[in-house]
Amino acid sequence: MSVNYTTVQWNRQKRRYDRIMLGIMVLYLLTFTFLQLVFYPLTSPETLIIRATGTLAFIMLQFILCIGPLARLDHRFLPLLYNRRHLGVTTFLIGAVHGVFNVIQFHSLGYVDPIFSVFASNTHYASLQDFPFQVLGFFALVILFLMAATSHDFWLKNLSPRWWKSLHMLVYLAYGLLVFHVMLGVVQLEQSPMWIGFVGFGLLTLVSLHLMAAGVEKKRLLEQMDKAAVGEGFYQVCSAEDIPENRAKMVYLEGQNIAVFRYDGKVSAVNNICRHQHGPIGEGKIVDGCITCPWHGYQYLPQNGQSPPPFTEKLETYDVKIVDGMVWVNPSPYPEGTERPAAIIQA
Amino acid sequence: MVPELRKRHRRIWQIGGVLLCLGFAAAIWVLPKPVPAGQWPGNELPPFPKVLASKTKGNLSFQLRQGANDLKQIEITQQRVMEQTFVQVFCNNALQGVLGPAGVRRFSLSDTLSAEPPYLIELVDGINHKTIHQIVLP
Repeated sequence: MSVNYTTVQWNRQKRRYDRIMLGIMVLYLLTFTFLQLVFYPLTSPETLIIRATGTLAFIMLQFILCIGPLARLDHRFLPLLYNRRHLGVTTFLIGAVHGVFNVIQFHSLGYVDPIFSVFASNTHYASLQDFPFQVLGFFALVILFLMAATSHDFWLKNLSPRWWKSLHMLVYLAYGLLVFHVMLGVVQLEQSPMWIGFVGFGLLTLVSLHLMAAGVEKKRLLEQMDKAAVGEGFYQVCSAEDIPENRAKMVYLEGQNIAVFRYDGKVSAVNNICRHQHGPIGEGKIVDGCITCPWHGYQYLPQNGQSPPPFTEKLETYDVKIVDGMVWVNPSPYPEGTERPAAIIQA
Repeated sequence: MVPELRKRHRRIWQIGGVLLCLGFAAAIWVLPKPVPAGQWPGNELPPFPKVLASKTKGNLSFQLRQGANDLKQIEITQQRVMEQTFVQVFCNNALQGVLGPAGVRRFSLSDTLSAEPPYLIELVDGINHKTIHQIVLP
């Protein structure tokens, strides 16, 4: 969260996150190199780099794509989400090393342009077995480049969260391209059960996690809609006691995605969608009197939905009342940043 | 996340998951026959003792060798690295392995193949599926 754009908004958590990430990457590269030298002692340094970076980038992308559903299924994984951006950019850089070394090793000694050679050296585009798998890796790298280049709040603001998110959802296409890059490349060449197991396990894990998370979300949404009961424009949401202190209850009423927060003996309702990357505000908590988005720490005041000065982000607010200990919410939104009185919880 | 975005995610993974799994299965389905164990460059076999025949073609020398139990072995000596990046070695249409950098490569024939002379040795550009050399050893 920043008023002005800075290249990287460093803080203690991000430094710690990055140090752990780099430590694991170095450990992986050293282990991979050691095993390659033990089992394939004649491997050239270029091949070693290509293999080590290729496998590392694929594992990292796989891990990145698991973070979202894991965080939705279990909030203990939310810290992984906090600095996923650095993980993504690093994945692109590792993938780029793999791509550049491949082009140098396999395409730079001919008579044609090396990039042209990637597309033209093997033209069996109609064959699954002999498909030019390097082309798939090339396009996946282009997508990862676009994502890394726009992985900044400057682009998020200027492209708008909607278009930015759509662009970054291309990562799923990149993952699909990379699955086939491996399956039609090294797997066809070496027929190693290890590669098949490596890709297959990752693919099944990823698809299962995403479908499980989607199922849980859908069920939660349906439960919210079933519970609500109409009364003078207000919907009964839950008992005030059902909302933990400094936490929220999320409801979906008349197309409005609402987070009802309980704090200091009061209840307030704001729009559930963070203005940064459309994160779920209601899955966050109140820190220092501010609602704090669980994704990247954007903050809002519960009574008016405004970010504390000097920040300018604002959320819509809603009327709330408490009758006989039950919380009622009117889903007609007030303009962003409108102050609404909090409902007092009677002792 | 906006419900609409969640719905998009759900649809992407429902459809994409099925397509990826089908593609994964198809890629396994079209896997070529595995190269016999020990026939990759870097895992050179020891030579069989008796040389039965020798022929030379360009920078390549071919030898037919005989070992215990009348088993045969093809030895190929490359003076220079091949222009093609992926060269497969076939004997009587059965894949034996691939050539690597310059040096000596040996391919032990199976019992059945050893008992079926003459031996048609073919070097095939594995990427473009073109036969580079054909040679017959008696």
